[in-house]
Amino acid sequence: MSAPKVAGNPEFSKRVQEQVSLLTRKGWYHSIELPDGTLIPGLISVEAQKLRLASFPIPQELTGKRVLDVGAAGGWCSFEMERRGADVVAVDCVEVEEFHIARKLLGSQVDYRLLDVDELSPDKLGRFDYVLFFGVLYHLRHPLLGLEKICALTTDTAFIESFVIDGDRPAGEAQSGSRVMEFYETNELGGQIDNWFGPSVGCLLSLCRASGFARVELEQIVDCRAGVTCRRHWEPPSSDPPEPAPWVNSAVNNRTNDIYFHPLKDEYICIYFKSHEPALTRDQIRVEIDGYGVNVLVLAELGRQGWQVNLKVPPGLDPGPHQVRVRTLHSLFSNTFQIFMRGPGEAASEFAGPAVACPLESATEPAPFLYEVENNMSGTRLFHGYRNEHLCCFFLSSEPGLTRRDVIVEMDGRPEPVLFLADLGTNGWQTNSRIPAWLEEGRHEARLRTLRSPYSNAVEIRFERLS
Amino acid sequence: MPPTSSAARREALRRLNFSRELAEKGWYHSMDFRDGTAAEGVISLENLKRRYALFPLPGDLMGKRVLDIGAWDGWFSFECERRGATVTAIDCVEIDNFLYAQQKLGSQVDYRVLDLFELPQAGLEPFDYVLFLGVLYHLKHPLLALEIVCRFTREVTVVDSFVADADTWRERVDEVPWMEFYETCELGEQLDNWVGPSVGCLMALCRAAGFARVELLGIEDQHACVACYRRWEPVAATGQRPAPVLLAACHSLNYGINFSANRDEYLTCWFQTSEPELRREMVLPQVGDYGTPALYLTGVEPKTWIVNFRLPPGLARGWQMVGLRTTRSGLSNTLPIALDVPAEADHLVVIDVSDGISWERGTVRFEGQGFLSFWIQGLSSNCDRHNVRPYLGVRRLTVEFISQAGATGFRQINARVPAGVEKGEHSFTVRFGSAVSEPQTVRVV
Repeated sequence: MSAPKVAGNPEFSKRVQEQVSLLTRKGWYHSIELPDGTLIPGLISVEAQKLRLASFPIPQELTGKRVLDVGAAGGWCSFEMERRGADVVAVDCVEVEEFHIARKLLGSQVDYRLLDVDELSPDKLGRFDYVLFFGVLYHLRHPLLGLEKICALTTDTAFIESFVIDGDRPAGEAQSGSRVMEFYETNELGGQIDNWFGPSVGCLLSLCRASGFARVELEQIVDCRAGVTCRRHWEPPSSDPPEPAPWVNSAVNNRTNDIYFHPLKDEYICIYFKSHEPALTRDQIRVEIDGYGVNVLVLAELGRQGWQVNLKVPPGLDPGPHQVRVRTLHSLFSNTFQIFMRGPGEAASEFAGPAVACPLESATEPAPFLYEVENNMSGTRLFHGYRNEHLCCFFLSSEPGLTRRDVIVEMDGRPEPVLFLADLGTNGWQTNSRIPAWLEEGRHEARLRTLRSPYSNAVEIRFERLS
Repeated sequence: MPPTSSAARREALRRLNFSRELAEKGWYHSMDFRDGTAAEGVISLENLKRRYALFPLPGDLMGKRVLDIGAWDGWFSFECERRGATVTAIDCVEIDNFLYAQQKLGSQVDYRVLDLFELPQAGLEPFDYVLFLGVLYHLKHPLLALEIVCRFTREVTVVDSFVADADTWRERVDEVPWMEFYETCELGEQLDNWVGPSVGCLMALCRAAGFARVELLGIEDQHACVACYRRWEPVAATGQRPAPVLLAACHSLNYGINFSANRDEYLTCWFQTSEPELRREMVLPQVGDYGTPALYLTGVEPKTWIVNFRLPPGLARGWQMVGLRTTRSGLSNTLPIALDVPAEADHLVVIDVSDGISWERGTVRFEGQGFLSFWIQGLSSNCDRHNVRPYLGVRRLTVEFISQAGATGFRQINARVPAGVEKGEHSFTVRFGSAVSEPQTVRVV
């Protein structure tokens, strides 16, 4: 650890304590300019506040936009956003009297709420085009959780400013520096007991991406504070991309191989896709969920133009269906694949018992055609009962929107749960199942149906246990 | 990606070797099924027993409740059960080996597939002892996780976690606690590793979560093991200094006595002690049965001190007693606070509204400042400076003092009149919960 220490530094503490006493004398934190030109002087000058805002790419014209100001303090930013035409909600964890006075003097309509960051949610406040999150992050006991709350409320861009521990280094160096945060158990930082974490610049950028933002950009570092612009959308794709779009085979919960996700669990999406592009790298992948960009955590090449990426479920997904698609830096978007978010009250378990198939005679869909059955390890129809051996069934079905639980795979007439279902495109599908433990040496028949169709043709496999 | 610590790189290698070994052996914990059969896992039985022996748990766990978080194959769960405990084991995925071992051992362990952050919704009662082994660094919100664990602990939690400075921490005990953050799979090539705290940070997080004291049990293989206690050490039987006198205990922000278990709340206490050279670490506050670390200590006048600390998690709703002692003294007197006690009144009666200084009835003299006193009946016993809300017109007055209720049930309340209140007649009301007193006319002169 070579980060210069601000915590425990008597100079820094002295400066903070001086500011606190100055604030006590001046009374106001933000200076406020009234319409008649009168200035209420505060600890922070109007010029300083204008400079701070100008360091972020916040549009001048905000008519019709919703803006949330988290940690509004004296309210200068809220009133400025309102002046630019926005509908503004300001929140703070303690009631600041000067906000009320300024609001009245300015004839402002800003909606002022007393809420902790932990209490913010789209249910309570709706969602916002732009969110200002200035000088709050390091006061939170759970900084990444706080950023997730902010991300869930943002539909376009959040502007974040935080104390950083390596703010005296050049921006370029600081960005690629180590990703650490200091933890302040008592009053190590500035003699205040409500400072909990001091991230390095690199760590702050990492936290913003990890919380669910697609693109995170360092704007400036001034006076131990870093400003970061966090966008929820990818850059627009190029109008004439040189590469064909990828094809998404499936997007599943990496714990359950199912398409269902639970809001209280730490869940990861695993996307399997085909792409003709060689040598893809993680930073070339653009995953979108309902139009929001999500960063990929790992990329793995599976061979035969197959790729796998894993990513965290972004915060704030409502219960119900969500659309996943993928492009690369050089392609258009793939097909979309649907996943489902459970409601918080719904059973956490996805293994809700077997799905009920309709009687064969009242099938409404045509029988699938089982065109291949394979051992995933060898690509043949010969199985040995190895630990990692899986039974892969490839079939054609015109039934739209199949999920894992719509398909019943049978070995010699006994059902074997489908662990995984992939959409191969043009009516092609693939299931993965375990090799049944009861399987004896010799020949066996695999077949399948959907909940709404008759059985497919049967395909013969061979089982030979190797001693 | 920027370079991560050498500890993270070593962990990557260790994990890789570990994954190979796990794939070969099939078991993580070795297991003795007590029927002559056994499973050989990545961790030997000797190693498991040696680790267990470090934990400050009683040998006999009869009648105790134990929670094993991240139980994996379950050796620790089954060991606690063998020693008499009623055990609940949770894991974020169902582990076949656990179910197999449970059946072979005829175990009654309550096994649940839960993420740590689902624990508060799972309807479980608190536990005497909690094992939280090898889970913390997999969590995105480590301090929140420890708060939840603390809430479910009555005595001791044992925390085992990856630490990022296992080799160097001894040389740097004075540095500010820090943790690495792993955005992707920097640690051990696993994407579900999120944080790598320093040893000092791990211990600071445990204290900040609400444990009274934290003890380092050992460091091995890049992991640190710590014991987190909810109570202070027992008071020394002899050689005690006189107990401090607790003068006041109130909410740090609003000076009231009401607290909410669901919020991050802090207490401020004023106390007197004749002990010289008092330091923060020497003050041991407690609420109910639980100790909680002092965050800030300052002397206000000779022998009088102010200490701030966080409301410890997991207290039962209702009245709780606050007290404190020093490392060398016995426990002070105690003062009550109310935890999630509703503030309601059926009927408020206000009499004798008068100037706080001249006692002139129906009038407040305002010259730069002004005070108003009144007598009120009907407030519930958890009334405080924050939840009693007197108003002059629409301006709220700041309550400065509330007396004990007299024989007739009346309390005297003194309140400060805010600057900028206009001269003339105002309607005076007192609000408490949803009740409002009959308006009375008060003249500001």
